[in-house]
Amino acid sequence: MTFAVTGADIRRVAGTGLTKSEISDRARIAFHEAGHAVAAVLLGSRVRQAVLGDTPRTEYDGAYPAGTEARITYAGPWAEARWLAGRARRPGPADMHRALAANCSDNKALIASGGSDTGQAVVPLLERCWPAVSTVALKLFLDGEVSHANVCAALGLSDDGGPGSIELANIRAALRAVP
Amino acid sequence: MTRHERFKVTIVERLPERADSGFADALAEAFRAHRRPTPPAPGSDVDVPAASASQPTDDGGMAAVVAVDLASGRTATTTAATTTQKRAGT
Repeated sequence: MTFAVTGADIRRVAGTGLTKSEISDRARIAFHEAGHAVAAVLLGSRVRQAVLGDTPRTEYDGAYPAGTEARITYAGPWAEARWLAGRARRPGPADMHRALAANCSDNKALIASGGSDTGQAVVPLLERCWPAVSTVALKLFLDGEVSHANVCAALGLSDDGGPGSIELANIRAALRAVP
Repeated sequence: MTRHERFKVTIVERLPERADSGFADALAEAFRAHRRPTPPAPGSDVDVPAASASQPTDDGGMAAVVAVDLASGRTATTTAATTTQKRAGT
């Protein structure tokens, strides 16, 4: 997808009767779900769908090595904190604390995995792929849903991802750039 | 003599703020800004492709000279390296 977002695109969403506060929330949640979706694909899973709406959620297949689940879980609050922190700085502990407090289900899952900072090893990978997270978040914000193919396209994959993808392996190894 | 003044009380209904053009344009710019790569800070750890510049250091490690395009935030190096974690040049 292209990234020529304009104020008119935002107003199209606003035209549904949303207030500024609701639109800001929609952007925050879009980045949250985009973080889950991009991390899931990067770590070899397959996204069934990521949606906003009444119950924002990201659904993905769960066959992967131990520890991967915590990374995918952590990616959502971290992407949300990264968006809220702005482009000028990286989210710090206080930003993550707020993001986890606002997403108690993710926080509970991380605590069950060993602690709220479990899964933070995904951060350097997500940082490197942040343009793809932003692309997926924008599509979520505008359209309300993204598919596995959308996430693969944002990552610049020519294959379908999955655990056997050499392109994903190269991205994880920092041998392939994200467009 | 005490003077009693009467005040007319106006109740202003608090309406939710609708998204105006300025808000929409600012949010669109925020999305665009986040799409652009962020340049690494001097001295920070960056990922360098394996086929990039490196030199052995006194402490036995490897160092790379990394050129950072400040406009795009993309990094480029000059010759080959064996590890992926390098330190950005200033």
